[in-house]
Amino acid sequence: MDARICEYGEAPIRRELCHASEYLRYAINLPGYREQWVPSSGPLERRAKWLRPLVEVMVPAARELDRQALGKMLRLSDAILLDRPAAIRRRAMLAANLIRFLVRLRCGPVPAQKTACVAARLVRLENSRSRNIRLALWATRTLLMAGYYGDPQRQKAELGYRPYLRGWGSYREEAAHEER
Amino acid sequence: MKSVEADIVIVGSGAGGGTVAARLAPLVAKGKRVILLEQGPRFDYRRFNGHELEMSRMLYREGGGFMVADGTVSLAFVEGYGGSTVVYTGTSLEPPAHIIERWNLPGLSPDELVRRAKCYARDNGVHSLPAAEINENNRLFVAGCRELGWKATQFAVNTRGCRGSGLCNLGCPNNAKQGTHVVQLPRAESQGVEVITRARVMRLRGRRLEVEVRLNPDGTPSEWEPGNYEVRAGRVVLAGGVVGSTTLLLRSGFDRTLPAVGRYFTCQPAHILVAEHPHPIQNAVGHPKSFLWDEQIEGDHFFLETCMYPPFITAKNMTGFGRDHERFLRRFDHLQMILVLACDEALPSQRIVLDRRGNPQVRYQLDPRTIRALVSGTRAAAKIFFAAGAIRVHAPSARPTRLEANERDRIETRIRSEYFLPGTVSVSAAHLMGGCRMGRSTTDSVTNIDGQVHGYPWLHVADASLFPTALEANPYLTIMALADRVADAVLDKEHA
Repeated sequence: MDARICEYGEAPIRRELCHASEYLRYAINLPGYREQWVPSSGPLERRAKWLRPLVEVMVPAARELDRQALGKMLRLSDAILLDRPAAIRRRAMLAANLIRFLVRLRCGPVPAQKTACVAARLVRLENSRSRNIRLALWATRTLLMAGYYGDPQRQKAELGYRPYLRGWGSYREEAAHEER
Repeated sequence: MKSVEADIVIVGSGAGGGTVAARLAPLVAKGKRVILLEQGPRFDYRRFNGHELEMSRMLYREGGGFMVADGTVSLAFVEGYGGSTVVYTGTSLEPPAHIIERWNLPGLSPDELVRRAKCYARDNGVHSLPAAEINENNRLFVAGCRELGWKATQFAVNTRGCRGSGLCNLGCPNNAKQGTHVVQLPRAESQGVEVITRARVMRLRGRRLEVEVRLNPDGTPSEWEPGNYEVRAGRVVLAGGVVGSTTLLLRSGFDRTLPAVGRYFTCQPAHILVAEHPHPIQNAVGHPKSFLWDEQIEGDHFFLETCMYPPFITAKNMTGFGRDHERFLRRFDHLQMILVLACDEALPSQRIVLDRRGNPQVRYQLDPRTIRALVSGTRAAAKIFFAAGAIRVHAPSARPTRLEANERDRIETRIRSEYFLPGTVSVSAAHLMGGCRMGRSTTDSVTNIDGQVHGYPWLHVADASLFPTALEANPYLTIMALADRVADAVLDKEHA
């Protein structure tokens, strides 16, 4: 459930419906409503096939991801996207579609096998004279990176980062454990 | 619609609202009803697990990615019990005298604000962290500055029992940070102030507030039943933060008589810079923001602070993508970070407006002076990184963005304003100010120096939206000092 659907400016009937729906979900505590914030599917995950070349250029290590892992990564990006107001979601998807179109224009309909072409294209778009194109690329890149670098398991396994909730205490314990 | 009456209604519970609530709390014992309405939920610090996406989503408006209208700057602020004091690093600087003097507001003296700020510094446990608790990321900053002959200053921070989780910006999992959610709000509640969370004030109709109470999927439920309320108040104090207070005044039509509502918005836009060291450094543990360097504020309009952000925020704030970008991230435990903050000008054209649905839209553009400040700050940070022993630096306004140590003599030519492309370079801001600025005239200000809205003796503002210009420093103690002043004015009126 998008917590921000009931926005200021919605038609009164829509707001009431939205509130009623929230209340029902809350009252019966639907599984996953309170804790599971990553959706089982989303617009980016459904476009995994054509997003793959972009992901692989932006985060080269993502080439190692199989279909399932890529889907999981994009669901995390979807979680970020779905949490935004509807107008922002629409703009973000428009941005991703624009980038896809501009890449296909140069690299053809199957860019998956043309990583160098995609990379060169994205670099050009990043330095485009049009601020809107630069922003579209930035938004797409940010969403994709959220899915990749925002995953706590990957942060720990691949980047060596983990939150030390107990601060120096857990850091020193870990250091002592590694020494042993 | 349910109806509620109160003597005083405070809107917002951050540094401003929390302070006002604590100051007005004694009125409850005298029979006054004081209600604080907070748009966001109460947070349980035991749920702060340090996972950046989950916590950003829980704590920040739009996950910390509230974009200005032209898409070039993202703004971070919190909706919840304690407001942004839940997520700031606790850095507590006294109001800078030269800025208060520059405001040139008769009756508002730097000495008075500093005196008030000192009270809150004591109250909220502000102190300097001992050297043993300073991590390597911060020590390298100090060492780099020293090498260059620059003087780094240690921040005082408001913690009690800090364990150094380094997760200040994602909510302290040890509840050590002494924001208003820990100090002022519980105190106010214990004295009878009613704090109602998930209560969104939609509009002011005179002294009647249209309030919508929502269910809360992430935190504890609201204290009131969900539904629509009309709250009739004797006095109203707006402390919903820069975006919140300004939006409310705009929605309520105050801009018809006060054209300055929403204008003179500043945010001290910032860059996160990273550098790689040849060996792992302590960066993810320990207080993240312990030092600053501010000797270039007057000349180049920027200052530098130490910082540490988790991987996605770091990745997002670096420019570019691909192998170079990834290489820095893969060496995360080797990274030193510095935050460059620009002192932006308060201009009437930089403003908050409403979109056609009545939601806030921030029309803010990075002007040439701000870009120059960010670029100058990037150069200074690169010098500090290399002086501290870094082997490569990521500079957003360089082409290519990677600078190797052997290029340290070419910093001035490699990092240039013309390479700063708005929309490509990530810029974010958390020090939002202005929009309801103090002043003497209704043409260029919204309130007087007591935070009272011109022409409305029952309506006050008590948050960073009062600032006539950017503060050029971390603002929380100054917000509290100003809010304290506003509370005095409200108390005087109540006693009268």
